[in-house]
Amino acid sequence: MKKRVMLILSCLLLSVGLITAQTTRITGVVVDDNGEPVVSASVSVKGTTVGTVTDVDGKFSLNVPDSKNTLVFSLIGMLSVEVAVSQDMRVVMENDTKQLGEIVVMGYGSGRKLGTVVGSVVQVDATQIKDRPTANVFDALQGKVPGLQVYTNSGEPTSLSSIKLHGAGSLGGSTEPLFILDNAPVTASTVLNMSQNDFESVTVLKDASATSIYGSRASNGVIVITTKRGARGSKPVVTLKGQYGVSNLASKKFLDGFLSTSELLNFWRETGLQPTATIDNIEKQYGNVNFNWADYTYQKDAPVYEGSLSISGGADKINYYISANYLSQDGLAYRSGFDRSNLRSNIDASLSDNFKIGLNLNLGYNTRKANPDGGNALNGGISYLLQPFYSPYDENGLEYMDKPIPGVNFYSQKYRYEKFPYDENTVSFNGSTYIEYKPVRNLTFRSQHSMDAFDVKLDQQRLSSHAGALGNGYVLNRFQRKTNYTMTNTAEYKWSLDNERHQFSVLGGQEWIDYKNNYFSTTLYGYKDDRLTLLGVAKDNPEYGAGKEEYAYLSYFSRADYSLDNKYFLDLSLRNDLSSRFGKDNRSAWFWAVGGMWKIKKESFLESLEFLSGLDIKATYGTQGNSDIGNYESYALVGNSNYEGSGWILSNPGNPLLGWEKQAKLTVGINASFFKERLRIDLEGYNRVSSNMLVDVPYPYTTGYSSVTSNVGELVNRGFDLAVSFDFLKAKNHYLTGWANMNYNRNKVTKLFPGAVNDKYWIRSGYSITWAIDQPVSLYTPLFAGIDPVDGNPMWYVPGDDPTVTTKKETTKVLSDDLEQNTGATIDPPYIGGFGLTAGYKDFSLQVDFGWAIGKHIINNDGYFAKNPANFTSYNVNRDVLGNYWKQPGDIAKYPGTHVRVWTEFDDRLVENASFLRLKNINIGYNIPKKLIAKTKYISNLKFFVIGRNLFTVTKYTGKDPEVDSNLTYGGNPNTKQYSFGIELTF
Amino acid sequence: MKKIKYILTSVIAAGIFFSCDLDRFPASSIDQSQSFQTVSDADKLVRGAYATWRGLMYGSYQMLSDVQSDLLHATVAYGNRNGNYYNWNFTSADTSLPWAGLYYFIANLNNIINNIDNVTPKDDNEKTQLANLKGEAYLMRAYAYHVLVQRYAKDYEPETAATDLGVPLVLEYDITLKPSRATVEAIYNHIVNDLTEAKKLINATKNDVIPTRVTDDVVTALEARVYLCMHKWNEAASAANSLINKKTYPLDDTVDAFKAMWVDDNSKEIIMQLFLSDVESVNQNSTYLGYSNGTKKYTPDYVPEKWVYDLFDAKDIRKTVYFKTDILDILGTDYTGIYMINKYPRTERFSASGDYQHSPIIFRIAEMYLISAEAAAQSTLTEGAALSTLNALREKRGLDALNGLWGETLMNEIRNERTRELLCEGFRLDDLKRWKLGIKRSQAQDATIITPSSINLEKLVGDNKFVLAIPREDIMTNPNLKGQQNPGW
Repeated sequence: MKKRVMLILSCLLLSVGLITAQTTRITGVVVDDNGEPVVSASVSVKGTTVGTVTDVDGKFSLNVPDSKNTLVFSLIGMLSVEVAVSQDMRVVMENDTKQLGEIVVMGYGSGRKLGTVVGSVVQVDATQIKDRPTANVFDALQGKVPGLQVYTNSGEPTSLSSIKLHGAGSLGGSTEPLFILDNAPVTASTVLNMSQNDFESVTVLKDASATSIYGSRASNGVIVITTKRGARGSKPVVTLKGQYGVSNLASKKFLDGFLSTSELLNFWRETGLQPTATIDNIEKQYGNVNFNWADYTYQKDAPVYEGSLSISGGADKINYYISANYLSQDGLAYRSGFDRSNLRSNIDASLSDNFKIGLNLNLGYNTRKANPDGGNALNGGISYLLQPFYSPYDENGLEYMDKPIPGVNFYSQKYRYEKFPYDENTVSFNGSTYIEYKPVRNLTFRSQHSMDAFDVKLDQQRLSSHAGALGNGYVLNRFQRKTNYTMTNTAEYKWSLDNERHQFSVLGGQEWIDYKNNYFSTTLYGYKDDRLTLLGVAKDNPEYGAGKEEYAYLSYFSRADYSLDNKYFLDLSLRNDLSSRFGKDNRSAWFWAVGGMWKIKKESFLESLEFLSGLDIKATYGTQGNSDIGNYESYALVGNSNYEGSGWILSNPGNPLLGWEKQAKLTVGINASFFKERLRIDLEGYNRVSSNMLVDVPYPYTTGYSSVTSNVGELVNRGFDLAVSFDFLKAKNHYLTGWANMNYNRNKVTKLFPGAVNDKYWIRSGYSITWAIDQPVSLYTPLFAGIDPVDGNPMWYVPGDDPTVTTKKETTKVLSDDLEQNTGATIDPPYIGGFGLTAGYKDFSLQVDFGWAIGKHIINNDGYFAKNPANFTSYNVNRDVLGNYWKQPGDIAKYPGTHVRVWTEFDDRLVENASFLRLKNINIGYNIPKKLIAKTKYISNLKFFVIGRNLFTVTKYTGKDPEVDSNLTYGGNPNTKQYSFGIELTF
Repeated sequence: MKKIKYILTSVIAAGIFFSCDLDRFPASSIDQSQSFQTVSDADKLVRGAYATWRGLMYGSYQMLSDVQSDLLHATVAYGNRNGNYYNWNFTSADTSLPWAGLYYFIANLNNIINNIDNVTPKDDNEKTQLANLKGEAYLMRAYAYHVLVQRYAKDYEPETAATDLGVPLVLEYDITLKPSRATVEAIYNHIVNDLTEAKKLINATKNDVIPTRVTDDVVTALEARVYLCMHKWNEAASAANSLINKKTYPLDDTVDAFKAMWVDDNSKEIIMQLFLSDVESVNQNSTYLGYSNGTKKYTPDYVPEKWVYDLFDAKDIRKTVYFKTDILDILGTDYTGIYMINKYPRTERFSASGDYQHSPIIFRIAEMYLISAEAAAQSTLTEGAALSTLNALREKRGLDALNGLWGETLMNEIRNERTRELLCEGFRLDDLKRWKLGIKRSQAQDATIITPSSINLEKLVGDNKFVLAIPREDIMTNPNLKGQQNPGW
């Protein structure tokens, strides 16, 4: 512990003490277990409001009423101690690094110590999140939480991660977990509007015991985020942080695999895929150009920087955390980026001994930019197909600005984004306020009201000076307001009997959620002057849009916990939810859970086992729900479609029987630690059964619809999580902890819907995703059987009577959809995990995190574009085809002869193994030695750090990026890697 | 303090006993149960059906079968757009268009036909209005089934129609129905039934503007088209002739008047076209021109084959209207002297920067001349009438009258005339089916800019891909279609 100099409030606190009559002045010093003074520790007289804080030397003095004889010493990060009053006290406080962060928030009600929680929870603390050079906090969770699959799909700075816990739990409904921020549900994008510097911890609730209390929407697990709070009775701590880094493509392997001008023209001559005259004309006009379009589409060294300032502290009746943050991240594609400013203020105050109120506020303002030419656009996501002999620069090296790039025939990206201004910004307000009232000891009433609100405003234009539509600019204005109001009222009572042998707590509550999302937009054409851009200046071709989405939930819930001797634990929960999304008679659903834990190590028969430091066994079972579908799916609807001014059309088939998707989850776990807790092993098995799934059940088009959302089917996810960590070194000045975790998940469809083929399987047309009884969700495509050396035609295997069984006997040269059969490839990997280490030596610290997945597959649709020179004639080609195609009888070739038009079909050649290992995070820090810092008198800590994200990837996948969470990918904006440097200063 | 306690306690208590309304309704649509109560409701539903119909015209709905046929060559700049059809390598996963759209159209029409009788008219005026609305729905349903049976079933052959598979016949709005395919004959009979109903109910007639809703003449025109397919030559000819003889729809005989039909969507020839405005837009046929405002040049995906352009005599007023030549920008090189299809020209009527929006023509009188001629040519007794009807059209288009033609030579001229007149209006592939002809793509206008693959594509009469596959989504979801897929898919 080092010196701090700020001494605010202590005088005030002292004066409180002075009021009391008959006091004795007590002085003393507080030190830590190394004998160093503890600064800013709060010292209070037990049973009174009298208190002070320790000074820079750890010293304190205060007047203690004669009637009182105990002092309480506390400081965040240290174990509180109670010491009898004496003169010239020397109090030793112990570091509480392990206990810190181990208080977990368990659905409604007060937090609990991790070791006493029956449910399966994993907490990731702030230090692992806050410095990451990306706006998306969830990316930091990849590989960190056993069983939690986190993929970041894109390199767009605004992209969020796709998250699944213990496999995909629904065939149709969402598989995204429920996000709870400071006790109220929010969306992942709310979290994107906040700074991760403000997060205290992110906790993942995995089993029924932990999640069932959240009932509705908890079937995919719950991610609980708590924000930082100040500590009562502590001096203000000011933290200032600045960080700067650059982004680049995580991998260029795919994008670098295309032909140069001479290679491409030669290839065309050799294959005859283009008329010779066309090739000659191109060579004459463009032959000396060789341009790399990937380098133009994805720029280098896009900056990302971040600054934050926070002040936290507290007095005896109030504590506060106030911060301001700014983040700016540019994407690699043109006009892609994210700018975020936010202010946070978390304040708790005690009005009296039994009344407490609090207010959390986050105000955010951000500007989102996403490249609009993603996906299937030649000037965006599939620009790799552009011919290298064209270039956006003319012979003088100047970028074509007011005329299209010759050959490719579109305007340069730079010009486009000058002429298509796009400004989308969001004002976000996330606030919650609570009142806590304890009428008697151990009984707490709490009422919390939260509002998560956004106003999103979009100004989009095509300037009238755009050469492509000269004198006909347009202006689009859109305004959207989303509000989500949550009211939660709870009553919690805790009591114990027999000298705390029996501990009980019960909780009951009610929750009301009211969501509204409205937008309206107007587009007007005919703008003639770039300076006059307000709506109404021009009035041509008006387009009006508006939308409204609303839902509401009303829930009642209760929970009861019991523990005996801190050895046997039991908890029960019960919840009822009503959702506006379902048919009138099917709105209500009950969810419940029961869980037990046995701390075996505490039994006398294990006491003698020295090496075993702790052993817990847990089992929980319970049900959760999923209601993540459209808001009006249950209604049969007629909507607008105008003909000569008015008109109605059928817009939704409706399903009045629509009800909750249900899940039952059984979890059995062991938490063990050995050798004075140096080695920790957590093993947990689960069986997750989803039923009545919300699936868009396919209907024949002859009904007028392609699908009707219905409750059907059953899906089982079964697997286990294993986490191991070991402290190799554990000294104060040099420590090294290694950790690793993995999850195995076997996903199996056990029941489908009426109408499935032979009641056995269903191949989702156009997706290749197949649901087949007793099989995991898999990819079905024709199976490629090679190129016939005789005639150069591709061959495929003829499936047997049952396409769910892979059959490779006869072959055919005629491709049809009937050839689709089981490829054995699953989209979600059966194995995921991570490993890493944290280490320190004196003032240096190191954190390394890897994430991995084995058995993940994607259909590489980019490969279809890139390896099909006879289909996408005139475009560039992946180098793989060079010299690899059939030319004459007898050739053993990878690609067919030039007489075949499609060289790469949607068969299992495109189903690629996208297993990967990725260095998600490496963070090297250096703290300026305290001795040097001490001389400044007011700086308490100065840290420099270098951080890298996605620095390397190992994968066999040949497409752009293996981390995409999809059955099929093309034209994606691939993941990026960052190097970043930062300074953190604490006063 | 007491006061605060009191207030806070009651706030918390109030919350706990809170009860809330959980009904949420979209403001953009209404429940079907409340959507069909008045004549005005019925009119809105029928208008909605027209809007759906409009969405099923032009664009891919019209282009694909022409791209698949022998009229066009793909330029090297075509980027594989609609390439599956051009190269005949599409599969049953690619044939949900127009199937899905037409059955959705039919679902809307069934909803109208099934429920419109529940609306009680307030007076005679409303009664007439309701009858007409119902008639419109019958006509549209007949139209929809006719497109379906033409694209997804074998051509109507009187000898085999009773056993050839047509398409599933859905006449009720009920999403649980999963019918098997009815025969071609059953579908055609049903189309004729719907037309008979429509004829009884429709009282709208043409006034001085081009109709944008169904009139009695539209019913007759569809009858002519359907009877021609059914080989009911007399009925086809008499329906077509009744419209020709009315003289309500005179043929254009000048370049300017004829051009106005394609540029301004304005011609007396038009029996019915669908409504279009700046806020009610339509599918566009941009594939034939591909004009760039930036380069002021054209980059078409498809250009007509040489024989197609050569089929037009220099005197033919259609030649200057249907074709356009200008600077083509193909992969960055300029080419001239190549003719493009210009039936759907770029205009600035709806957008100052230009687009290809045109009111979809449902029927125009020229087709009636061709139906009449083709039907009459089937019998030696009426070959003379066939020739004179053909000449009536030819002369208006600036061509000389032909004489002394009979038998196959007459039929050949009628075919050529139909190819000329209805070029790239989506008829070609179905015509080849009816005429029992195959496909042979031939010489390119300029092979330099034509994609070598499929440039000489040849498909014999009866190639299975003349008949589209029943979309696999339906084969998979409808057990009653088991074993009913068209051959070769």
